[in-house]
Amino acid sequence: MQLTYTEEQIKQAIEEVWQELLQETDAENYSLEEYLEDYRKYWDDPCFPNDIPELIMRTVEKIVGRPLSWYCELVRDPAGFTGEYSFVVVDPKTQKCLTYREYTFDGVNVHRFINVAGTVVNYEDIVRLVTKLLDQIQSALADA
Amino acid sequence: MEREKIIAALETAFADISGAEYEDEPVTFAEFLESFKKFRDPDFPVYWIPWTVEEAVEELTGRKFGWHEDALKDEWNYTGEFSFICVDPETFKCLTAERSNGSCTVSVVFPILSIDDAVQAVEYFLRLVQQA
Repeated sequence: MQLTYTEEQIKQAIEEVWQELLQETDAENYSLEEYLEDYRKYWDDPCFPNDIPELIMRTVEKIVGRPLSWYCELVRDPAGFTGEYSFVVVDPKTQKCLTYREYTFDGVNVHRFINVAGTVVNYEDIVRLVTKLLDQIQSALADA
Repeated sequence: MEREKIIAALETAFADISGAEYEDEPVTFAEFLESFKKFRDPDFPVYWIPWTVEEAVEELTGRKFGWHEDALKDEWNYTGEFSFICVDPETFKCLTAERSNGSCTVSVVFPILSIDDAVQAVEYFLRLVQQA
């Protein structure tokens, strides 16, 4: 399966998903820009960081064209939420992990990663993380 | 698999993971879990718990897996629950994925506050590997 996406398409999909999320929550007209400003101020408030994974994954699903199964960890250190999100994405049809990859840095030891992670502070970070997830998913689907 | 064999694998894995930290005054995994249950110190190296379970599973199966683990927290502290995702690197299949009511969940959650809880978690993963 070949996925095609441009930065413009990703940005458009983010906006559409944002509007869907607003309708579902009966929120007032709240732009993503305003939301991100509040998010930066209060990101340790439970109201805020949980919207980001939903926004990111629904955007990914919109571009992939079907629902995916996913898990997102909000990475925390002793001081609280770090702003980093760690995603594991699974194809619900095959149960294949689409974010799995292996690396060897020394030619001997294999490091296995099943997640894709990124920090979200602003709009560009959301675009970057969606792109990173899509690139990884595309490569996993191509190998299938 | 016998419980004693699982506990031995957990203790070996824990000694390996805790490494030099407890070199002078060795602490068993069972003692470590008791201490975690009692104090729930936020600075506790809580991830040693899921890593120990994962290493024990790999030791007992003789295989490596891809893992993701999350120490769950409520507003104040660790709850003692851990979320695990396990992937078979040969097939890329997510072994913890489960279909129910038309949706597919990716992770499994276990409370691990005692050696019995840890044994149950290992037994669950051994069953998953066997089924796969």
